[in-house]
Amino acid sequence: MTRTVNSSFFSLLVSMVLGCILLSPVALGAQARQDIDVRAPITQKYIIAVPHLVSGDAAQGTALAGQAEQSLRATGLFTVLDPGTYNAASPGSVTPPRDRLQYYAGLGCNLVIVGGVQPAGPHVALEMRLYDPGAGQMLLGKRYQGPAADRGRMVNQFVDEVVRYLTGKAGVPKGRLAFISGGTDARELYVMDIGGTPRQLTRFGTLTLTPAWTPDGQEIIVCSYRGGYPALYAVNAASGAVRKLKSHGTLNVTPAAGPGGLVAATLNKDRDQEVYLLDRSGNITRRLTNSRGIDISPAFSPDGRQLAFVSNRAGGPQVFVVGAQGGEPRRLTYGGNYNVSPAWSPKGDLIAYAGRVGGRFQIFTIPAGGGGARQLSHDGGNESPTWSPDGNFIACSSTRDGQAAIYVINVGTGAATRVTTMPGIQTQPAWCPR
Amino acid sequence: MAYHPHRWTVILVLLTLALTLPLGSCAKKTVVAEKPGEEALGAGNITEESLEAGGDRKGRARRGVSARAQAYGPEGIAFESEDVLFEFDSATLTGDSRTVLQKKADFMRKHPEVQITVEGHCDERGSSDYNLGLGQKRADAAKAYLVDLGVADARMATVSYGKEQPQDPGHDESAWARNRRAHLVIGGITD
Repeated sequence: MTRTVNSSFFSLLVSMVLGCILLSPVALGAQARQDIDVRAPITQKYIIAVPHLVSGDAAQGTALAGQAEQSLRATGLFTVLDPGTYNAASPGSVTPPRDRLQYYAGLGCNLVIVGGVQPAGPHVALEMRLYDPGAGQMLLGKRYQGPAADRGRMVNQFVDEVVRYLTGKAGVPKGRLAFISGGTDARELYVMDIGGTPRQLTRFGTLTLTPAWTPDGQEIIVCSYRGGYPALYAVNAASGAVRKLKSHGTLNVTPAAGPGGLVAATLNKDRDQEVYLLDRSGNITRRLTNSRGIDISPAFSPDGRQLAFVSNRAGGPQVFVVGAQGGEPRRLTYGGNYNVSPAWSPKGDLIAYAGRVGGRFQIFTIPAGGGGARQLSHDGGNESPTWSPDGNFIACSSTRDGQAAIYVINVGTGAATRVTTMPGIQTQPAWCPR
Repeated sequence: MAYHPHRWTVILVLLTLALTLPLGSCAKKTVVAEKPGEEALGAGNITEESLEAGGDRKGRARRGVSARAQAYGPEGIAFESEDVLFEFDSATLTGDSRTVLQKKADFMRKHPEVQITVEGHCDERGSSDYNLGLGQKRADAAKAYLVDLGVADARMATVSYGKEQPQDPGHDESAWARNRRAHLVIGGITD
């Protein structure tokens, strides 16, 4: 869908007028720096263009501009001009002349990113600059140097800097995700840097499910059937070395790892499923729940003092919260009749979960102390939320494009980006806490 | 609605096997090739096909009938082929389920050396994690009833597969109904 210059300017005008009437106005153009809470719903977007980067290799200049455009769009903060709708040729220099900047301003852009890339020995040198084209001023500039394979990540780093400059908050998700990929017979554990290539970490040749990082980011606890029944294993995230935790009975599932090496999991050792706290070797420390029925999917609060979990004691599965010392659980979710997979924000204030709506699952957040739920996803079926360490993003599995893949949702804007493109089905992501 | 075709199919299979029993001697192993979604029909129309041995299961819910079950002939095949079915979101045994389990108990009584694994499964709706719990409840319910019928607890292990290993890959009510099951296999967890 192409946008003409006139319609984008008109849209800007309309949205500015509406913004003034309906909401606290956000002045655009006069000042490029804004105080927008990335986690609050976005009402107006910056209009930005990214002409092709200056480069001896024209294809590379075009590709890197495209990478920047994609990352900018994914933040949900920008309306990015389609390069087919204006003269997107490289301006010839990372310090374009005033009249070239005026050209972008004339298109309606609040911002423009100009960049250049060139080889530097075995590496590449990448320079990116953010301009206010109307004022003719550079707002932000960075130089990066590194392996050519990291070009895309350098671009993402700059886009993140742009969002931080504008909003004070992170804009581009980063970090490591563990997730499960496979088909019907075998599911294996994978790890990837967001923006990088997934690395297969297990080769058990069977079902392996529900990864959970330890808080130090060293190990990933999984539930695997390699012994013929679901048991817990700790996989070293760097080396892939595996150690088995002690099993209790034939159901040892949905692990979570908390401070002090504690592991929470559901066991069926006394003929009823309950949530237990275990030490890092799998020895039982405490039983946390005491209710006939299904008690499953524990998740630690950031300080480890509480756990969210799922129970069907009220009929269908709902999310409850209990103190790590035990005690009477408090029910958290009341909307809908099927709420599962709680994940506690590292900020401590919100709990994300998957709630069934109209036959499919969607991602919701709810205040940890109770209150109204906010629906974050709407396309396809979305499950297994996990928070970024800064609490600004949630990764989940989504079927919005067909087979389940891992997506990252910006909690503030709701904008979603796909991060896995692999054969098979990717599910159950876990975001490394470090 | 979804139950009726399945029940009649099961009865037809059992009738076929019952009719063919007197025709085979103990020395001759008559095997009915059992593939998901296919039933052997027609008295006297038996095909013989060697199936791969059970071997190292490595936690994969078994497809088809295990070698151990085949070794017990048609009754062993029936033991593994006939699942205990459940209603949506439920781990409560129905009247039909109890009937099926009574036949399983008969087999266990007749062959006191047999150890079994009771698998619990769910249909694809619902979340993976919660269904691990529901599958376990179904396996527990089937096993508890067998214990009530006199089968020793120690002979039976339970393993939940949640929704991860459906019998029927379809996405309609008849597929879902087939997948909400406790599935009994001859052999322990690591066999």
